[in-house]
Parts: sequence; C-alpha cells; structure tokens
Amino acid sequence: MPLAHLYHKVVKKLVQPPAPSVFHPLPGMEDVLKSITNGLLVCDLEKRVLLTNPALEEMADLPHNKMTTSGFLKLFECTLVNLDKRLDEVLSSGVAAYIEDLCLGKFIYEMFINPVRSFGGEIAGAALVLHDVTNIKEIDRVKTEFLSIAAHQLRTPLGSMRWNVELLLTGDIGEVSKDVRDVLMQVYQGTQRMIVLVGELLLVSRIEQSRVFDQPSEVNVLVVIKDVMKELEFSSQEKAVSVELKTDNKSLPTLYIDSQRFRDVIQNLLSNAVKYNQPGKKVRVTVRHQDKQVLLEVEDQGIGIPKKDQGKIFSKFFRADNAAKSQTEGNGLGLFIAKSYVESWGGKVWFDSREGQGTVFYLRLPEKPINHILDKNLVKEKTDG
Amino acid sequence: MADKKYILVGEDDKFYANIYKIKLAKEGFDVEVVGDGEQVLTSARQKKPDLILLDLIMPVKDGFETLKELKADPKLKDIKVVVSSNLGQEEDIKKTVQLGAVDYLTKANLSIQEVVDKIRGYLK
Repeated sequence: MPLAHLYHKVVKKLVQPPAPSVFHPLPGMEDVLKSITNGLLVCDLEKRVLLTNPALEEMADLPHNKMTTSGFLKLFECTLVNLDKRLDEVLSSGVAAYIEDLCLGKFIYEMFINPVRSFGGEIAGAALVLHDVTNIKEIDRVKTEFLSIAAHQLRTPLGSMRWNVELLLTGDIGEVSKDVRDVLMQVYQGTQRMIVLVGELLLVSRIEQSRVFDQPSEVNVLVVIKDVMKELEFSSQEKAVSVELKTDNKSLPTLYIDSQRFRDVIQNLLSNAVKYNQPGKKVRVTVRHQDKQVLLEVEDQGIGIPKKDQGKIFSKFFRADNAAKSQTEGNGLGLFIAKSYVESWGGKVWFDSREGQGTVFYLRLPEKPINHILDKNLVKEKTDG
Repeated sequence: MADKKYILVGEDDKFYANIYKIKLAKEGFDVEVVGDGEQVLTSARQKKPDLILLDLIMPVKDGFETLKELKADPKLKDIKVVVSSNLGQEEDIKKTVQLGAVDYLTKANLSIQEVVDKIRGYLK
C-alpha cells in the first residue's frame, strides 16, 4: 500500500529524527500531504499528535496546534465503539484496526488505525486515516431502497397476471378450450419464471448486504428430501431419470433450521442433478449422520462441469457453457444462493465433476446449524453502529 | 346464507381488487373491497368483518398504519388481519407480525387458491 509506505517514511523521520545533516526530506512532502483528501493524523505511543494534514484539520474544524488525539476521537460521538480504546489496542498489539460508520456532522467516515513502526520494527505510534464514505453509504441506501421498490413494482403486475391466468385456467371465469388452455399455460409458466427471478434477484441483493435472516424450526431431513423427490417426479419421469435415495442411518437428527431455505437448497441440488443428467440415467442421493454432521451426496451421471468452469460454478449469474446449451432455462443464481445459505449455517457445499461423466455435489451441515435471527441482528447493528 | 363469512379487503390495485371479488365470492364468502386504509377502518366499524385482508402500500393510509389503528381499537382489535402484499422483505413481515397480523402473504409467491385456503384456515 503506497500510502502506508509514505506514512511510514514520514513518521520514521518524525519519531526518530536523524541528525539534520543526514536528513533528506522527500521532495514536496508537504504538498503531498496537502493533496491527500483522506484525513490523516499520526500520533506517537503517548498519543501526542505528530502530524495532521489539512483534510483532517478541516474535518475536525481545528488547526493543527489545537489538535489532540483523544480530543479528535471524541468528535465521533454517535458511535458506540470506544475509539480511544481501539487506538490503545493498536499501539500495544501492533495490529491494525478498521472502524466503519463513524459520523461527524453530515458526513460518514471509515477509519483505519494503522500501527507505525520505527527502524528497529518496534511500534512507534499510529496513523489514523479517515475516508469519507458518505456518498457510498448514500448510494448503498438508495440501491437497497430501489431494489425493494423495484421488486414491489415488478411483483405487483406479475402477481395479478398470475392470479388472472389462474382464474382462467381453473375455469372460474368460464370454460376454456384445450388450445386456449395450452396457451394460457405458457403465459402462466412465463409469469412464474419472472416471479422467481424477481424474488431471486432481491434475495441476491439481500445476501450481499448480509440481510438474510432465518426462521428456524425442527426439520426432518429425510422428509424434506422425499418431499422434494416427489415434487421432481414429473420432470424426472419426463427425462427418464430415476432418483434413488440411500440412507444407512435411520436416526438422522432433526435439524433446527430455516425449513424453507433448507428445502430450497435440497431442491436446487436435486433438480440440477435431474436437469443436467443424461436421459435414462440415475441420480443417487445419499444421506448420512456422522461426527455430529449431516452429510448429503447427490450424484448424477450427467453432462458434468467442464474443468475451466469449475472455479466459477458458485458465482452468481454464472452458467457453464454446456449447461447453458443443454438447458436454456436457468438464471445462474441457484447455486450461489444455496452456497450462501449453507455457509451461513456453518456448513459447506462442494463438488467433484468430470465433463461428460457426471457430478457429485456434497453438502455438509452441522447438527446444530447457526441461525441468524432478525431481532438479534437488528440489535447487533445498533451496537456496532 | 346468514353464515357466510364476511371478508373485508384493503387493496388499491384494481386488478387485484377484481380478482379478490371474483374468487372470494366464488368460494362462498361475502366480500367488500376498499381502496385505502382509511376506508378499511370506516368499513370495519360499520360492519365487523370476520377477517381483513390488508395490502401494505395504499394511498391515504398505508397498511402498517391501518393495522396499528385496528389493533389499538378495542372494538376492532380481535378481528384477524392477514397482510397480503408484494413487499415481502423480511423486515416488513416481522413488522406486521409484531403489529398483530396473523399472517403475511407475498401475493406473487402464492396462487390465489393458496390465499383462499389460508383465509379459510384462519376462519376455522
């Protein structure tokens, strides 16, 4: 980090000033410091201010000679983080600290507290760097709000289209001929796909903002798997793919987990295995309970994931070339969402695959998954703020 | 037909309003659909419904505010309120449940039949 390097040089000279004869200031150092738009304050081990730049003086609305480190840190009164203490920790441990969401007036800052080391390597002080993130925060807030509104606005017409088509399909409006029904069915499926896509886009944005919360309940793993298998019966029969369930352990634990999301994960893995299988082949599902973990394997004999795509298969919107060719449907979000869920529960999902031969997806979940509950998170946000 | 259950719907989108009218009547309910929260309160005071189906984004008075006032009114607080909206964010769901709604339905994610089945479940 060039900036850190620069501070290092500056402070090195300030903390251990060599004899004037060997002191060669970097050309234009003053100007460099002036030109930096991030606020900078460098202090020594006793927290005496060694250096401030104009950006920081402007932030604090104080001239350099009136600045004290503790006084400066006290300006950020809306945070619950004890900044003085964090600085002490950096000075004693030498480990850099990062504090976000600091507000001062109308502005929001993030602060880096970096230890500054002397020639010999011992900690000589700290450099506080303040970065104005007001605009980024605002953009973030607008983005979230936009997504929420966009999802609402998109869902509203999609939902009424769905229900109207349902009224027609169920004959609530009047009898419809088979030909009309076939066309309506296509409208219905198209609408459904759009609804799912809008929901998943919203979900991805929430995952990225770490705003996904669990509603856990007791879930029987086998029941969910069998349920999903049943739901996939139609598409697997259509593809002449048989799905087999094998479990060597009748005493699978019930998991305390968000049942809908757990089901979504299972549904994603199983439906992929059917979708990307070769016609007439098998999907083997194995569940085991061992070492306080639940292990699930979903093995297909399908198209496989090409080596070059294996690193990207969990990335959002990514679809392997052969998958996109064999199945035009699919938005590349399913595995991204599944992986995010599984990892938030403290589990892991991975795979082995050979192109043209098949894929095995593995899912490992702790007996007691971690649940993220909305209330707790709201409280947490406040205290972190 | 005195035992027909009476459902009051707060819904400002006329497409949804129309669907509710058709489907709920067809399923044997008495239905009244009004277009904002203020009318929901007025209507509920005039004739006490067995259940209120409430949208959230509505003009004049939104669903959150309406729900709050319903629950604050001793004469209305026992009426079951099912929120039916397309907002669907977890915070919104939590908020309406905390305000006293018995359920939160994201319209686009359910079939109209599923909505009817849920209403029937709450009327038992």
